[in-house]
Parts: sequence; structure tokens; C-alpha cells
Amino acid sequence: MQATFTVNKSDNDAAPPIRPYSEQEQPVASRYRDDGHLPDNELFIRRTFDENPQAGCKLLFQLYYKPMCTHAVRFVYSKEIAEDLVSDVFYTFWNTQAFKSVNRSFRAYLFRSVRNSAYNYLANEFRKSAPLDSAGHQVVAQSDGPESITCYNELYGKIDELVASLPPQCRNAFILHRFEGKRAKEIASQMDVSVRTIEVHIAKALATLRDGLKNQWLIVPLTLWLQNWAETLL
Amino acid sequence: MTPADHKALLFAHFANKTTPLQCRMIDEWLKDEANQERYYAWLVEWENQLPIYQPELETPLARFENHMKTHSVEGVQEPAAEVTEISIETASRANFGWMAAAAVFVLLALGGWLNRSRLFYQTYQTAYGETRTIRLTDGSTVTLNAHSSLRVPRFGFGIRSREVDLSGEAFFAMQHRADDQKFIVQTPNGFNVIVHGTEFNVSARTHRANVMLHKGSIQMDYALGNTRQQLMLKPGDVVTMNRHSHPQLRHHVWTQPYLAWKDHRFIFDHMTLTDFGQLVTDTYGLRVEIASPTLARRTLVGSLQATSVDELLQTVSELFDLSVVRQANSVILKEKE
Repeated sequence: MQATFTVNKSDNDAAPPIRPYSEQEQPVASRYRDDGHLPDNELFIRRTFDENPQAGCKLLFQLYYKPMCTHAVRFVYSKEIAEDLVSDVFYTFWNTQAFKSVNRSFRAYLFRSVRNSAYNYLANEFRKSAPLDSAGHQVVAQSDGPESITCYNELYGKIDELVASLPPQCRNAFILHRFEGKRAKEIASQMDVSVRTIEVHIAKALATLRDGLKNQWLIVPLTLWLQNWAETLL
Repeated sequence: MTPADHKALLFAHFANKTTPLQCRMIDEWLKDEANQERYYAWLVEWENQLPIYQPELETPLARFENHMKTHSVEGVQEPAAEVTEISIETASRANFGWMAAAAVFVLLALGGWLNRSRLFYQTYQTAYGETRTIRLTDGSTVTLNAHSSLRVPRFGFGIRSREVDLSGEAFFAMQHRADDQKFIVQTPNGFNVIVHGTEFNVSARTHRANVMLHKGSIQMDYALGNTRQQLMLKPGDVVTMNRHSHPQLRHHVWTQPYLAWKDHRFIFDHMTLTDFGQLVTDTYGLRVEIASPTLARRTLVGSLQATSVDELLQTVSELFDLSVVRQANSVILKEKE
């Protein structure tokens, strides 16, 4: 079945001169095929993009929206914020026609983008000083170094750790408020305490996060900044 | 390590269950770009296997599709004819959307400009025959006589100044301010009344304009030729403004006739029937015709209470032994035959 896609590439003479996927893409895809356990369904999507970018974007959205949301929520700890960030990534993807210049997988591109957005969101929320130049707008790193890939895992690991370290009632209130998006009033009646107590819990949790994450903001942006800087030079 | 081992390691890493040494190993492994692709593919697989929650897909997808439709991007190549047609349609729809938005904006701006008087001023109006008492935010009260309007600024009234616009007739009972802030009544008849904490009546009708000071002190500011003139009033003073002549100031006037309207009373102190006709016109919006000049010169003395124009006309006609011919918007007063 997958063989048909490689055929499709070579025999299509009438294809537009710029095809979204390049020659280098093939070996990667073939390596996945060799692994046997990673069917690269993005090839379907690439074909769709050739014919109708809108349909291609729709397929990507259907395929990756959910995992992107559940991933982003590990950083921002809020369903609502996570979903907004993911939607924004897709809107930007469409508006800037980024799909034309993606030379690796869409999946990698989209996940890098959403991690970046989540990072910037957190940095804006929890960093006391003004964000670095990169935080103001969405930085979509085309390729980020191996260092920063694992840094993102460490970042949400750190956040989990900090939330886990909160006293049970405080943690509970924070999760209900932030993750579930419930109002302090609702939580107060659910937990049978005063609204003021809930507000104190939430404030305490946020302060713990701010304090616990204060050393995080240098690691990732510096590497990103260096990459952006390097890209502008190239 | 087999790919399966790497996958297991990565899954542990996603769950933050790797040791620093294992992380270092992953970092090394990620230096191969192909492995980065693998990393993201496994990340998706992991997220799909163990989602923290189930995001709802349909609504955001519909919104995204709608966004793509309305934000059709220039230069998107769409070889299929059918698709091209759709893109033209969406493009024109997008343009229409912008045009509509621009049109709405222009209309709003124009509406705001035309309605700026409504935006910035609160206007109190009374119909013919109606009187109404208004309490202003500074504590002053204004009683509007029939067919009158008072315009009060919505913003900043009583903060820097107190200025109102009056047409028609009103009785003002001002709240005096500790800082002696002025209260200014502007009229379309070319005079303003500057108030220093007081009670007074301003009449700014088309044919009759006067100011009667009941209590306190007021200052009148009026145009004489090209200059502005000031006049200080003492209680009991009445200034009558005529369009082309000097204002006439009379002292120690019997003030009740000027205030009686507040209680639906009419006090006539040698008022000619012509003036009475004008009063009826100002108060009830009826055009009054007086049949003969002799009749027009007759004067009224006395007071009466009337809550409607019919009541008023009936009483006056009985007094003068007149016949009243009432039509839709006009009244003819003539001597009985």
C-alpha cells in the first residue's frame, strides 16, 4: 500500500514545481517503513496538501488536535488554555502557509510549535521580568536542538513535581480551578470551605509555581534564541 | 538497543521516569534527525495512549474550517476546477465580510457623530401640558414646565462645572456648593444665567424670555450688539428679554405668577389676552387665534388652577364671556354674539 505513494512522486509530471516534500524526505519515510511499527500516515496528508491545502489542514487537525491538547495541558495545566494554544498553532499554520515550507514531518513541526507556545505562555505568566524578545510573538522553531527537546520534558516534569508538592487541599483546589476551569465559588461549595480559602489556595499554588520555575526560563529560550539568531544569519 | 527498547525508554522519558543518565542517552540519540522524527511520532503515540483528558474535537475543528474558509490565503494552489470555484467564492465572501465590517464601522462612527448630543448629554423633555421635576446629580432640582427641554452633560457634570441648556421654561432650585462652583443655565435666546446658589425661574420661550430670581443671587450674561453684558439680580427681580431691545429689569416684582405653573396654577397680573394666547401655545402647543384686536387687548387679572388646556380655556372663556372654538391644533377665541 505504501509503495503507491513513492510511485506517485516519480510519475507525476504535471505536478506543481514546488512540492511540499523534498527528496530528503523519502529516506526518512522509508526508514519508518523498515521499522514496521511506525506507519507514516502523513504521506496521505502530503498528497492531500498537493491537491487541496484546506483538506490537508483539516486532516492534520483531526489527527493531531487531541494529542497536541493533552500534551500542551501538561505545561499550562489548563484545558482551556491548552486548547486555545493548539488552535492558535493551527490558525498560524494556515495563515502563514507554513505547510508549504515544512521540510520534515508535519507532526514534528506542529508539536514543536505547540511546545513553544506553551513555553512562551508559561514564561509570560510566571516569569517576573519582561519576556525575552522571542516570547512576544509565537516562535516557531523549524528545528530545535536535541538539548531543548528534552528540556521541554523536564519543564513539564518540574511543573508536575511542583503541583504534587502542594498540600492535598491546595493541590485539589488548584487543579479544579486551573485544569477544570471551575470558579472559586463552585470549588468552595464542593470542598465545603470558604471562597477566601480557595482563593488563598490558588494564590499559594501559583506562587509555588512561580518560585519553583524561576530558574527554568533561561535554559530553553537561550537555545531558542541562539537558533533564531543563527537562522537570521543564514 | 532495538527500536522497541528506544521506544520503551522514550515512553518512560515522556512520563518523566528517566534518570539523568538515561536523559543524556536520549540527548545523544536525538542528535540524529531521523530520531527526532521518531521522537515526535512516539510522543503522539504516547499522548494517544495515555491522554490526560479527552478534548472535544468537533467544535474547534468546525471553527478551524470556518477560519480557513474566511481567511483564504493568497497563492494557495488549487488545481482542481471544483476547488478553484470554492476558493473564489470564499475569497469574495471574505471580501464581503471585510466590506461589511468596514461599512458597519463607518455607520457606527457616523451614528456616533450624529448622535453625539445623545451620547454626551442627557436630555429631559416635557410634552405639552406636562410638568416634570428632575433631580440632578449635584442635588439641584429642576422643574420643567410644559414643552420644555433641559440638556445635562452625562460626563463631568458637577466635577469641573455645572452647565445645562434650557429651552422652554424651568424653575431651578440649586444646591449651593462649598467651593462656590457656578451653575450656568444657557438658553437659545442669547442669554445665560450664572447662578450662585439660589432659586429662580428661567423662561426661554420663542416669544417670551424672562428670568425671575426667587432667592439667592444670580448673574445674567447677555449679548448686546457684539459685546457681552452682565447683570446682577436680587431676589424679587425680573428681567424680561426682548429680542431686539435691552433687557428690562424690574425690582420687587410679585414673584408668584412666575412660579405658579409648578402647581398647575395660573396667576394673571394684568396679562393681555394676546399674552395668554402665547402662554397657551407655549404650554399646550395649541395655536391661539383671537378674533378681534379689541379683544386681544383685554387683560386678565386673577388666579386659577387648571390641569388641562380644556379646563384652562373653559375658565378663561367664562371669565371673559367668550366662545371657544376648538379645532385639532388651534383655538379661536371670540366674543359671544
